[in-house]
Amino acid sequence: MSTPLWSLSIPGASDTFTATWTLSHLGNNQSPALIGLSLIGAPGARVFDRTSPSFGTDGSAQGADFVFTSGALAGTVANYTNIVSVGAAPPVGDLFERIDVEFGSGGLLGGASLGFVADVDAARTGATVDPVVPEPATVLLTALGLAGAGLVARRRQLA
Amino acid sequence: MARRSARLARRTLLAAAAALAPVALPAQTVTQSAGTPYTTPALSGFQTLGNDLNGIGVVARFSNGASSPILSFGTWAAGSTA
Repeated sequence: MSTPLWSLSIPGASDTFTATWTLSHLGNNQSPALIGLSLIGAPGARVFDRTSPSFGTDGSAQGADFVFTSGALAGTVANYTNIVSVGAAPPVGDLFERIDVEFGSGGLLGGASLGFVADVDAARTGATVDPVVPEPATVLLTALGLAGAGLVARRRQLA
Repeated sequence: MARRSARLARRTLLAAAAALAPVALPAQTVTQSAGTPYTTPALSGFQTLGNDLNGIGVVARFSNGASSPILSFGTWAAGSTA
């Protein structure tokens, strides 16, 4: 098994709205620079939520754009792509399937690390079915109907 | 008259220095493109869920043209390294 050249981590049980991702280049000064990173959400399960439009898609919380928190590389471009819509509604423009980051300043060199924030949201796929509670009027009508049917049956029996 | 000329020269110098000063570039630029739009049917919404990042795939690219294989969805957990 080859030695990994890089690592990406985020503290467990944290909210990516504020938690910092840490990207490290585990090589040395002879290693090729890390010049790009793509984060890809599983379709239908994970999305990247941008800052604007705020709240945006129904059911989504406030998002947070890609931003360096440490070791910033000037000239970096983070492109959000594959816009996501939910159901029949047109896309609002805050949710995307992936982020492709091209690092500036020649990229992340061997032995260096950087931190960034990029909000990921998880789709709630578990369908919730509310129990159907009959309206009082429906209950009354049903009861009257059953009583009527019972009365008719009883009359027929007596006849 | 000489004092006035000196003041004018100083102002001109200051303006030139300000124009030549390096402009601080933002560290990152965020862009977006529609790409291949997709629709997620049958969802009841989204929630922030930082403790379950198993649905994220990651690709790293290097200056020599190499790129790491994508990590399959479901194999990467928060707190772990990829």
